[in-house]
Amino acid sequence: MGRAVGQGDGRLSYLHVRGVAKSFRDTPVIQDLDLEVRAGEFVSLLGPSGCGKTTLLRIIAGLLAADRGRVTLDGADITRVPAHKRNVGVVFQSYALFPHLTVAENVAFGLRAHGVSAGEIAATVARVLALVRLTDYGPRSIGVLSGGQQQRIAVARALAVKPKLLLLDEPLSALDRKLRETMRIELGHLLHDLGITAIFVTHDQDEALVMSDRIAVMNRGRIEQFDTPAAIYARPATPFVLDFVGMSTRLSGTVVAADGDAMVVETAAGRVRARGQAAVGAAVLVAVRPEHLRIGVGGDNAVSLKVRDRVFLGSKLLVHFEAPGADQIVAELPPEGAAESAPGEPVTVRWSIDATLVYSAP
Amino acid sequence: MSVAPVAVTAIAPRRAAVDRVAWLALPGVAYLAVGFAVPLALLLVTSVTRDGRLSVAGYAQFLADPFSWTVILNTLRVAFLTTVVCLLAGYPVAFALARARGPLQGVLLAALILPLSVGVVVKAFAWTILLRTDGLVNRALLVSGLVDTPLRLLFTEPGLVLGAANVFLPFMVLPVFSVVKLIDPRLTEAAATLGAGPLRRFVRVTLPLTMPGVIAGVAFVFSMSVSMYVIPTLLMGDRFKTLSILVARSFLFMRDRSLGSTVSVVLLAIAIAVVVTSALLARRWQPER
Repeated sequence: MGRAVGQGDGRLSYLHVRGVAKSFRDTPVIQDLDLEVRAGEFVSLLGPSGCGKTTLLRIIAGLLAADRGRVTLDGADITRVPAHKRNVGVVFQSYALFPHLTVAENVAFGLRAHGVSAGEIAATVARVLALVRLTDYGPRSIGVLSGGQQQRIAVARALAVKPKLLLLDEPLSALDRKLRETMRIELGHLLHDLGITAIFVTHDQDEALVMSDRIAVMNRGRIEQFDTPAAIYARPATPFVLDFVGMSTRLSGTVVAADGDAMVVETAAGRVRARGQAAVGAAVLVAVRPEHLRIGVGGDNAVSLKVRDRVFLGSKLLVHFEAPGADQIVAELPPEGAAESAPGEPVTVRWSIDATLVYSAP
Repeated sequence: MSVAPVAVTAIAPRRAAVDRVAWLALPGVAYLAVGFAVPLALLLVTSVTRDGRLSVAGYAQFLADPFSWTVILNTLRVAFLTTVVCLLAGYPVAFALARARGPLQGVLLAALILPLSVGVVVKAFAWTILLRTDGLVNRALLVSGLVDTPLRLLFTEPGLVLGAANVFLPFMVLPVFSVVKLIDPRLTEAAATLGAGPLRRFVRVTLPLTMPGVIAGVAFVFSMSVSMYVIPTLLMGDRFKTLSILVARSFLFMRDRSLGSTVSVVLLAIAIAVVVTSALLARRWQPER
C-alpha cells in the first residue's frame, strides 16, 4: 500500500460531506450527516425509501442546497458551486435521456457543453459507446432502445465528460430481475475497471453487497453504519442494520447474569449467552444469522424449538421455528442435513457465542 | 381448407374494429359538412364566378389594388405581433403553471380559462376603458412620472396588439403548459450535471422539448388574430382595415358578395398555410418513438 499523495491514494478522503442537514417543510430528511469517500472507491447508500439517500445524492450533485454543512470534493469546497460547475456525473433512476436527441447526441451533450472540439467529441463518443457495448447505436433515437440499453447510454453519457465523481440513483431498479442481476455485475466491473469514484444509491441489499467497496446503511436521514459489505453483514452496528441487511433470528430478553466480557440473556426461547458487557436487568435484543444455526445438541447456545415450516431453496433449506411474540427464529441449513426437522417436531437448535449479536433493546 | 378460416378470422375482427371506431367521427363530419364545408364551397364558387361564368377576375382585381396589399400587410403584421406578445408573455406562465402543485394549479388554470367566458366584446370594451387618454394605464404612467402628457394608446396599433394578446393569451399558455407538464424535470438536471449552464439548458433541452406546444400555440393565436374582427373594430375603429373588417364591410355595407367571397378565400388561404406549416413543423419536432 503506497502512501503517495494524490488521487490514487486510497487513504485520503476524496469526497467529504460534513454536518449536512436538510429539511423539507420542517420535516428533517438529512440530519447532521457525515460521509467520507476515498478516491476510486465504490460506495453504496443503502436504505429504505424515504431514508434520505436520494436527497443526499442530490446535495452532493448540487441539484439541491443543504440547509447546513459542507461538501468538499478533491480538496475543493463545492458547497456553493452550482451543479454545472461541479463535474459530478449523475445517472438518474429514470435515466433522463434527452428524447429529442440521438444516442450519439446524448453522449456528446456534456462534451459540447464543455467546449470540446468536434473531432475529439466523435472519438470520445465512439470510445464510451464501445465501453457500454453499444458501438453501432450512435445514430438511433432514444425511444427505440430497450430499458437496459437506455441504462447503458445514461452511464456512457455521464462517463463521457470524465466526471470527478459519479453518482448513480437506483440505476437498475427499472430493469427486470434477470437483466438487473446481469447489469449489477457488468456495471460494477466497468466502474471498477475505470477506477472512478462512485456513489450508488439503492434500496436493494443484494445490489449493495455485490457491487460496493463500502456500504453506508441509512435510516431516517442518518448513516447507521458505514463499513465493508462483509463487516455490515457479520457485525451489524444497530438493530436497524441487522434487520435491513440479510435475515436474522431475533430474540428479545433480559440480562440475568454478567460475567466479564460475556452475559447471559433470558429469552422466551431459553437462556442465551452473548459476548459483551451489560448491566443485569437490562433489556436487550439477541440475534444470530440463519447460517450460524445448526440442528442438534452441543455448542454455546442451545434452545429447544418447534418447527413451523421449511422452505426449500435448492442449494439451501430455510427452517422457520415457532417463536413467541414478535421474535423470529430462522435457520439456513444444507438441504441434506435437516431430515429431522419436520413441521411440528421439537428440535434442538444450537449456535456459537461468537455468532451471537446483542443490542440494547430499541 | 383448414387454414383458410383461421386466416379469415384473424384478419376480419381487426378490420371490423377499425371501421366501427371510424364511425364515431360521423356526427362531427356530418356537422362540419353541413355547417362549414357547404357554405365554404358556396363562398369559393361565388369568388370564382363573374356574371354566371367561371372567372378569376375577382382575385386579379383584388390583388392588383395596392390598398388590398396594405390590408393584407396590416392583418399579417398585427397577427404576427399579437402572436409574439402572447408567446413572450405566455411561455413563462406555462412553466409557472406546470410547476404549481395541488389546488394552486387549479386556481391558476381557472384564472386563465374563466376570462374566456367573459366574451370578446366585453374584454375589448374593458381595454378601451384602460387605454383611454384618462384611462388607468395613462394615469399610472402620469403618476409614476414616466410620461408628462398622456400617451395616445387607444386607436393605435400597439393598443390593438396589447388588447388582442390579452384575449388570446390562454390559447398560447394551454398548449405550451400541456407539453411542459409532460417533460421530465430530471432532463434539465441531467443537462446541468453534464456541465450545461442555465442558457444552454434552456436552448438545448427545454426549448426543443417545448417546441410542439409552442408551434400549436402559435398556430392557434396566429390563426385567431389573423381573422379577428370584434377586437380591431372596437380598439381601432373604422380607419384601420384588416381582411376580416374588409370581409364584413363587403358583405354588410357594400353588398358586394363577390369581393367579400374573394377576401374571405384569401384569409382562408393564409389560415390554411399557417395550419399546414405548423403541422409540418410539429412533426419535425416530434421525437421518434
